[in-house]
Parts: sequence; C-alpha cells; structure tokens
Amino acid sequence: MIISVRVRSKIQKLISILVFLLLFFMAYVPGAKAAVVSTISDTMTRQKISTTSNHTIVFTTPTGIANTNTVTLTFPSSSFTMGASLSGVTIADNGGADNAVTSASYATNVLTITASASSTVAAGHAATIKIPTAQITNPGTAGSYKITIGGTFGDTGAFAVPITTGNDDQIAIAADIDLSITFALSTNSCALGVMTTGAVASCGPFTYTVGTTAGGGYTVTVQDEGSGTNPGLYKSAATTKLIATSTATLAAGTEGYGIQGAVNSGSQTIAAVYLKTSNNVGALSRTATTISSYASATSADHVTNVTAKAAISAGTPAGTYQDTLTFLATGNF
Amino acid sequence: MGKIKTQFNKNYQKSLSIILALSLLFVSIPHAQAASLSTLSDTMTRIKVSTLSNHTLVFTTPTGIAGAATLVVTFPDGTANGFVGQSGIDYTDVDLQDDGSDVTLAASPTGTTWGAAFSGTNLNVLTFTNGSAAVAASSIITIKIGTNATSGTTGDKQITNPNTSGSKTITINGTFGDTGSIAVPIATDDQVVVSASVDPSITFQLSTNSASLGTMTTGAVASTSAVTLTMGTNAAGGYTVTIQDQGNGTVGGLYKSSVPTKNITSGTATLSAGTEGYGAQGTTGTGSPTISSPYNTSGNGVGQLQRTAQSFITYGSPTGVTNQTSTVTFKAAISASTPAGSYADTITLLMTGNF
Repeated sequence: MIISVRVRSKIQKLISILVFLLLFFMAYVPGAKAAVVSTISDTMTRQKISTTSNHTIVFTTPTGIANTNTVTLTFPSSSFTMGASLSGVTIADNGGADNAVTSASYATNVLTITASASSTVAAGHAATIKIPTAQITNPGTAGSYKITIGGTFGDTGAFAVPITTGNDDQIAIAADIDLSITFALSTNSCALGVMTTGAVASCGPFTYTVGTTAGGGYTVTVQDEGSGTNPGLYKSAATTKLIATSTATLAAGTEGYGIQGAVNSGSQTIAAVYLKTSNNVGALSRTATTISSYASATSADHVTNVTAKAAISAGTPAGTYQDTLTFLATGNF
Repeated sequence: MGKIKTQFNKNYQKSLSIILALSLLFVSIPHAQAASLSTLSDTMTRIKVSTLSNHTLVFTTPTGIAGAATLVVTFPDGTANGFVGQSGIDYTDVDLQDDGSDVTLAASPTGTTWGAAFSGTNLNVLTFTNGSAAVAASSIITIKIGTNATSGTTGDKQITNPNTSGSKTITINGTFGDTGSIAVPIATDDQVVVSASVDPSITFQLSTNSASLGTMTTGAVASTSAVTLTMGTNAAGGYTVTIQDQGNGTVGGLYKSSVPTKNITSGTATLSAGTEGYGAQGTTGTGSPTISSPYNTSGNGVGQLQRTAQSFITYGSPTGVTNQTSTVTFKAAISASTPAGSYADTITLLMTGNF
C-alpha cells in the first residue's frame, strides 16, 4: 500500500512533467503548419450581381512570395466566373510598383497566380494583387462570398466580399437645372456723329451679353429697320434718302453702311458676314440674321461687341439719318 | 373573448383583401408616363419688356398627339406683370404645324379640325385640342402666335412681354403626355438706334467777273464769251441759281449812264442786227442742270434780264461727287439811233440750296 502510494506519487509527477513538456512544446516549438496572412482586403469596382468587376486584393504575408511561388484564390463553387487565363494581373510589394506576374489561370473555382521574378514580396510585407479590366464576373445571387488564399508561397487566409442584396450597387442621381436665358444690351443708341466725305464714320462698340443654360446654346439675330422697306441708314425727312447697307469695305467719299461683330468675352461664334475689322462691314437685313451663336450652355456670360460704320459721298443729302437694329436671343433647349 | 378575436380576424382579413385588391388595381393601370419634349425653342420678334411680340415655338414630341388630346402652352406668370395676350387674341392669331404642314384651327375641335383657345385672366394659356387627326410620334410641332400666323386668317393680335426683365420659362404639357419647357430672355431693351447726320454744304463759282460785248455795230448781234457757273451742294432738294440785273437802276437793260443816258432795255426775244435788244441765254453742262425758261434758248435768242431775281438754273437733287456746270452768255444788238458811248450792266447770279 505504501509502495502503491509512492508509485502513484511518481506517476503523478511523471504526468505533470509530461503535461508541462507538452505545453512547452506546444507554445514554443514552431510547427510545420503554414502562417496566416493578415490585414486582408478586396476592393472591387462593382458588387452588383452578374456584373464584371476589377479586384484589388491586399494582405500581409508573413512568409513572403518568392519567384515561381503560386498564390491561389479559391472561390465558392458556382459563384464568380472568369476566363481560363486572366491578363494584366500584377503583384506589388509593400505598395511599390505593380509588377506583372508570370501567369494567372483559372480552373475549378481556383485562380492560380504564379509570381514572376519581379513580382515577389518580401516576408512581412503587404502584397497587393490587382486583377484589372473587369475579367471576373460577380455571382448571380446576392450574398456574402468567402474567398480563401493559399498556394505554394506557404501562407493561408480567407476573406469575404459582399454581392449586393438588392438588384444594384449604384444609385442614379437625377437633377434638373432650371431653364434660363438672359440678354442685355449695353446701350440703346449709337451715334455716328456728323459724317463727312473725308472719313468713314464709326460708332461703338456697344455690347450685348447672353447667358443661358440651354443645352443647345443660343442664337442672336440682328434685324434692320432701315427705311421700313429696305435696310440701311435712313433720312426720313423730305427729301428722303437711304444709305444702303452692303457687305463691303467702306471708303471715305463713297456711300456705304454696315456693322461688325467681335467676341468681347466667351467662345461664341460670330457669323462670318459680320466677323470684320477695319472698314469692312457686313450687310444688314430687314429679316433677322444670325450675328452670333453658341452650341451649348454658357459657363459664363458671353459678351459680343458690335460696331456700326458708315460713309457718305459728296452727293449724300444733308440731314439726320437713323436706323434701328433689333437684337434677339433665342435659346435652343 | 373568443368572439372578439374572431371578429378581429375577420376585419383584419377584409382589410388585407382590400389593400391587396387596390394594389393589384394600381399595378394593372398603365402609367401615363410623360416623355420629355426635345429640341425646343421659341423665336420671338421682340424681347423688350412690355412690348408686343410674335412667338414661333418649335419642339419635337416623342409621343405624338392622339385624337382628342390637348396640348397646353402656358406663358408665365399669369399676372398682369407676365406675358399678356392682347384682348381678342384667338385661334386666328395662331398657326400649328405638324412636321411643317399647317393643321386647320377653329375655336373648338371638330373632325380633323383642331381647337385653339386662349384662357386665363391675362390670356396667357393657349390650349390646343386635337380633333381626330393624330400626330405621329417624333413629329416636329411648330406653333406660331401673332402676326406671323398666316395660315387661314392672318393674325393681328400678339402677346405682350412681361414688364420685368429676366429669364422667363414657358411650359408645354397637356393630355398628349409629353412635357417640356423653354426659357426666353426678356431684356430692358433689344434695340440700338444708330444715328448720324450730314452737315449741309454748298459751293458756287463764276469763271469770270467780267464779260465784254466789245464795240457793238448795227451789222451784228454782239455776244460775250460764255461765263461758266460751277455748282456743288448736298442739299437734298437740290438748288436754284437766280439771275438779277442792275440795268439803269429802274429797268433791266444795258445802260449808258453818261449824259445823254440810254438804257438798251432787256427783253425776251431773238435779237437781230440793227434792232436794239439785250438779254442772256444759258446752256447746261456737267450734271445736266436745268436752264430755266426764258433763258433756255440758243442762237440769238435771249431771255429778259430783270431787276428782280429770276430763276436761271434749277436742280432737284444733291449734286454728287462732281460739281455741276452751266454757262451764261449775254447778247445785245443796237439800232442806227443808239447813242454812242459806253454801256454797262451788272448781273448778279445767286445760288440757293434747297435743304
């Protein structure tokens, strides 16, 4: 019975030692088991069902990825689909350059990426795997999908991505911009003064300003009153006289009349007939004629200069001459 | 307690059935979803505040306009400060074109004729009601309002612009299903008055200040050389040149002031050698001014010179770049009894512009 007690005590001691040793080895002796990657993420470009998406998978690898090592991504069966061979796949080491891998092939739910000599990742570094150009199609059913990381590089891990529970991962934002168009003339008079045969008379430039939200832009027309029958600079007192308007280069001593247009600010187009300088003028008409236009909404007000010019001959009757130009802006909504 | 529970369940089931039925009803009613009109514009003839203007509205209707459907154009803002239709404006002041072809309009629809009417206190709402002529989808609709509406009766009423400047939005809708808006600019003013003046000018010149008849004899009619008159003016009504004679201070003529005095009286005549007479004749030159009667004569014909200014040349328009010219020639004849001595006369020529 005493022996029995001793034996029991020894057995208990032995068991204690064995337990201690077992715990010691479990705690401190590294096993042959693979390390677990950490800090894993997969940033996708789309998460809508049945929609193609890019993937950017980032994880920290304790072991590192060596040349010819494979990194596998195992997708749930009947979930993500892709071609047998993916192109443009890269691996970056710790946020560095994206380097092309040797190959990226897919079979039976497993995407196998083989590192090249340039796409290695040092131990303890973050590996960034990019799968570009929408080569992977999301599952047709919404839910959470677990993807596991493995391969010959030695580490393992897993992460999950959401495929949207609704029908879409996008929200269409709609907005309206109020229709608007404004027009203003800088003045309502333009005096050519006392005209002589020795010079071409000029007045202006006066300006008109247009701003609009019309998607098709705007058109500004000019319409001439003239004599009420014909366009021109008109002396209505007897004996009446009309200095006719024409597209011409005015010369001192020769009757003529017309206007010029020019961009003051903006990118509007001045009609060719009025895009003149010096003593060149464009003919006015009693029907509305385009003087400037723009094909889209104005980001800022457009300002256009207008100059009127006239010349007389020795035979041009003395008196007071007048003409009325009507400018109209029309939005193309 | 059980009875109350049964009643509650019955009510609950009824409510549920009603809600379900209503839901199904709403699902089964097709939505009249409005399409947006496209390519809209409104070209006006005036955009000045408080000014009458025509309108030409153009837009494309994706849906088209079915028979009996309405198309409503609303000009803002329904008050006297907004667009206001002229009193009496009606369908005769409106045209409606379907892809460029005018439809027939009347006050109300009948058959293929459309109805068109203005409403609202300020006649700012124009409602078209289609008769039976359906407009196809994607058609271009053109609406003219004002004196530009020339189909059928030409319009004589327009729409007055608002009395404040700014962007004004015209809306288009109706039971035809589409909707759209157009903005038009109303400006303080839309016109520039170009003014100018030409100063009056006039020039007049004689080629000489003396003209000699030489020593007159009974054997011939004496004549001076032609004196050239040059006239230039921009007087719109042209000009007049007058001729005035000094004579003897009382009567026109060629005068010998020394004793014994003698006045060869001027008269309109054809002079002849041996018979006293005196006068002037004119000829037209550059620009062809008109020589007045009785000086528009030739040969030995002369017109009477008088102590009051007489019209010698007239021209009805500005003289132009090149100055005009004419000449005056003086002629005289004596008789055997005409006293010897020196004779003289002073002729005054004056040009007057008709500005």
